[in-house]
Amino acid sequence: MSEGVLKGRHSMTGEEACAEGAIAAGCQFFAGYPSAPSLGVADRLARRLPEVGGTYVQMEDAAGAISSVVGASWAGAKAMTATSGMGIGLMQEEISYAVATETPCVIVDVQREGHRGGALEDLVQSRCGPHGPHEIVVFAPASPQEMFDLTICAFSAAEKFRTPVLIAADTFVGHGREAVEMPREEEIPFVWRRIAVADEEGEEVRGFLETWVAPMPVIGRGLKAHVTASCHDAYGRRTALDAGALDRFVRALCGKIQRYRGDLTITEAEGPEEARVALVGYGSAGRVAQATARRAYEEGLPVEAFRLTTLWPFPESEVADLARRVKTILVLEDNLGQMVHYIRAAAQGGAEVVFLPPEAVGALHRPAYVLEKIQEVLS
Amino acid sequence: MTKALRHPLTDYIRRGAEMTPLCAGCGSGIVAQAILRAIHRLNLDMDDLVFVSGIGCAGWIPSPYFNADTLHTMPGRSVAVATGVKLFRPGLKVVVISGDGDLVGLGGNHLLHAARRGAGLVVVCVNNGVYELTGGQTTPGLASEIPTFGEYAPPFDACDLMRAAGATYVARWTVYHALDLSLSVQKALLHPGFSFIEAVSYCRTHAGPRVGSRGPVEMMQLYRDRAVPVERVRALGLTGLRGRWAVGEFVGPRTTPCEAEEEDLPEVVLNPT
Amino acid sequence: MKPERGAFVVQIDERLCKGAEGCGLCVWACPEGVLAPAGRPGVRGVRPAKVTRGEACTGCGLCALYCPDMAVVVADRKGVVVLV
Repeated sequence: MSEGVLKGRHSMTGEEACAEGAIAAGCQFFAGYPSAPSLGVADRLARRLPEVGGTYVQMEDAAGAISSVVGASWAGAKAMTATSGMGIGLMQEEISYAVATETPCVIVDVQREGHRGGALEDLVQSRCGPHGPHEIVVFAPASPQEMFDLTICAFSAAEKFRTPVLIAADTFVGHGREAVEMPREEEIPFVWRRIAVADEEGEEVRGFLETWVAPMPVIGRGLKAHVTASCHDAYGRRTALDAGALDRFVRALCGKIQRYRGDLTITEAEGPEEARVALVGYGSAGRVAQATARRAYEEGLPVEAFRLTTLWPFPESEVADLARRVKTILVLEDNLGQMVHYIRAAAQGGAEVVFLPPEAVGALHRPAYVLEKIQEVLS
Repeated sequence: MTKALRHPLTDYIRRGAEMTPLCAGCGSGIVAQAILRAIHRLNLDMDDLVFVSGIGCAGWIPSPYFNADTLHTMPGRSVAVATGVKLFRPGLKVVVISGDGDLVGLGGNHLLHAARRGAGLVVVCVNNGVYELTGGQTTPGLASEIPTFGEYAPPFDACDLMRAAGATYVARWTVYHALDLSLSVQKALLHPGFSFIEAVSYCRTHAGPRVGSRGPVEMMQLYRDRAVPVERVRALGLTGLRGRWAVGEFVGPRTTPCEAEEEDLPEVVLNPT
Repeated sequence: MKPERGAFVVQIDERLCKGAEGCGLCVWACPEGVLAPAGRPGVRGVRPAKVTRGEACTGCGLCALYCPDMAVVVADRKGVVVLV
């Protein structure tokens, strides 16, 4: 087994690619609790992390896993966990804690298809699950290659913005096997959180209030950090008596992500300029949207594919632009409608939004079936 | 007018946090100092320590009071967070301080597995038998003979659980035994394995009135009278132990977890038919 | 063997003491009756513990050991603090 960051071109599953992406990004700590279908991530990292000098631990439950990830992150590690929908449910309180304490960490959610909780189920849970006012970053990969690339992206975002970042994959992406091309090591971005220095006076202290992301007082460095999820000021001091404190706290946490949404938004539009119908999807459904749009283009139909890779912060303006371009948006989701409501809200005043689940929820949309629906819409 | 004296533990307290939010006479303050006294005696640098606390009044012992890295975590999760810290930075001494409701109740699973896993955490469990922060509901701690609604099951013996789970240093003292408590914390700080120290304390605000106590002094005297040194437990027998707590060192410090002795096994296992 | 009269001093920090009536652990802990509740409230609006028989102090340090708020310091006449 090769050591260090993997090189070259490999045939691997999405989960394996995710694990390799984590190592490429410099992940040093993984804590997990076995939860299908994300097992491939943990399995691979159990073997690979010690090879690169990292730490792997299996905890007693999902809440224990995310809690130890938070602890390791505060101790200075790039830390990650992987689970599926029910695990995300169990982790919500700690994800909320990570948001409030601005703890960088990556949480991989390989969602289940069809059984035990239904189809792609966590798109809204990933955003709205944690309690308290917050924003969160969620990416939806559509291939093993994207599992690799977006895991690196997730670590970059987590470290840069000091936030938990979720990767919401589906089982097809997680278990499916495709070619993954590893970039050259020098091309892989390595982003590390800014770490606080002791006795800050002057530029550093003022600086972070302008950039909205404070340097992290990583523990074990004599910085005497006070870490709490309770309402606190910019320096970690609890502020229960200051009336404006909660306002500032909430606005800072949410504003931090909103302010930099441009850096975090990844969408992909593909199709003719005169498109009248747009197929919107994410993950595997996004792949179907793109494949179907290409077939439609060959048949001379004015169809565009619009794939969401960033689910949260929701790409409102990109969807609004789309709604001005086309007459109808067909939303392909492998469930009974999760993101469609947000797409509809963003598209208000523009295109009509139609929800299209697969013929059997839990399976992929058949491109031929989608084409039929497009013909219905166009006539 | 003589110059004002400086408390010898002053440097261990964060500037601006000297006035604690704890009630007058709260046992947690005594636990706080027992821990600081141990650190002082060992001449440890606060920068080599990390304190992880949970939710409840005991969670406020290190946070923000102690002048060190303090992680104030979610209910029940402090041991799991501490595990992450210790596994990534094994050179740091990681001390978990929380109450019995948080550690043995809500966080019971994490506590059991951490003892099993054996990472060198020091867990100080302030056991007062109530969720005092939410008004005094009963917790599973040993001291929970406090009448309240909703919880009728008998309490755990947390030290016994820890011994069975594989902890290699287990001790219990009441806050009356403040010196012994401090000495046990000292031993735990030097112990490379998993340590569990139960500090039996009282909540004078929510539990006190329910047991007919008029204040901290009365509760302290009650604890002094109820505590039985572990060496005398056999002599007292089960009847003599009713309503009393064994205090002392139950396990180690030792290098390996306790193994069951032949006489511990129930008869049906020894003589299967 | 008892130390000579006035060999030790006990200092109560009124800003930290939460009151001898609500707490009173130092008063209870002292075997020599050195401390008692003050006659009137202090800066925190409660009656703090007060040294009433300072000459009886033997420097055992139990008052400081049991004070939950680090409000009590015991020292000898040279200012060397007693830490139990």
